[in-house]
Amino acid sequence: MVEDVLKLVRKAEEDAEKLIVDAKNKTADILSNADKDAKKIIEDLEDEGRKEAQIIIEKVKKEGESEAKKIIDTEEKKASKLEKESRKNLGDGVKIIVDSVLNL
Amino acid sequence: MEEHSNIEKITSKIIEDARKKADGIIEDANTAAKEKKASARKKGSDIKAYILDSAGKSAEQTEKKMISAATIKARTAILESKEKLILEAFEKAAEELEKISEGREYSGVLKKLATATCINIGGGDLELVVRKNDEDLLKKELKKIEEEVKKSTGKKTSLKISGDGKVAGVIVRNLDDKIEIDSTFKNRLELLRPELRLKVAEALFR
Repeated sequence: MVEDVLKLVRKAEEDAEKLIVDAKNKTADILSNADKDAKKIIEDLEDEGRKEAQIIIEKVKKEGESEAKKIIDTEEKKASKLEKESRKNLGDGVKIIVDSVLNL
Repeated sequence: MEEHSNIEKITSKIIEDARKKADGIIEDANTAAKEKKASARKKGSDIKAYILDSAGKSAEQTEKKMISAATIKARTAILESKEKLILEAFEKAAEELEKISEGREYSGVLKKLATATCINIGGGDLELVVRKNDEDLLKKELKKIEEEVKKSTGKKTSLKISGDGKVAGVIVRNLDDKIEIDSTFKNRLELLRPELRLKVAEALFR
């Protein structure tokens, strides 16, 4: 009778021990998975950052190109206008040179 | 019967305690896992923010460089446009001088240029080097030039002409001092170019 009781208690203790071992094993899995997830979270955010950064760089580059083109176009128009208007004074410029060379 | 029930209570308690402990262990693990992920999210977000911040700064720098390069290019376009016109003025002036050297008024121009150059060299025994075709133009004015130079420099002046010149204008050589002043159109154009550039620019872009 006592032996039977001890057997039952031992069995219960073994089951209890198994519960703890299982829980510890599960803990290791949980933590290992958490490490993997954490690594992936960081990698994903890093990737996300790189992709968004590329979009920002492309966008700003396009804006820069557009702004640069605008500046060049405007100044080229100014240069063209300046050349056209100054050409009217070319005769005066030529006269200054000729008169100076001839010592007039 | 009661004894059996007591044993069952004991074993149930053992199992129940173990389950609670196991649950506690798993709950701790879950909490730790949550913390690891939260920490990873924070670290990932920081990395992302750093990447975006760097990209923003780099993009801003690139944009500034592009605009700066464009501004320089644009300014260069204006300067090139001005330079083109200044060069054109000098080219046209050279053509005009060439025409003058072939025209009727050249005789007067040559006389004036020769006189001024002889005065500049200080008079004396001088040789006037001109183009072969211009020798006759100058010969008939020689006496007048000698007088004018003497009057201006106070020095007796004697002139002779050489037709070895290659271009319009005159080279005056002082035969005693072996000094010469090159007053050919070509040389005067080059000598005067630096100071004329400014005057021409003022006339063109007023």
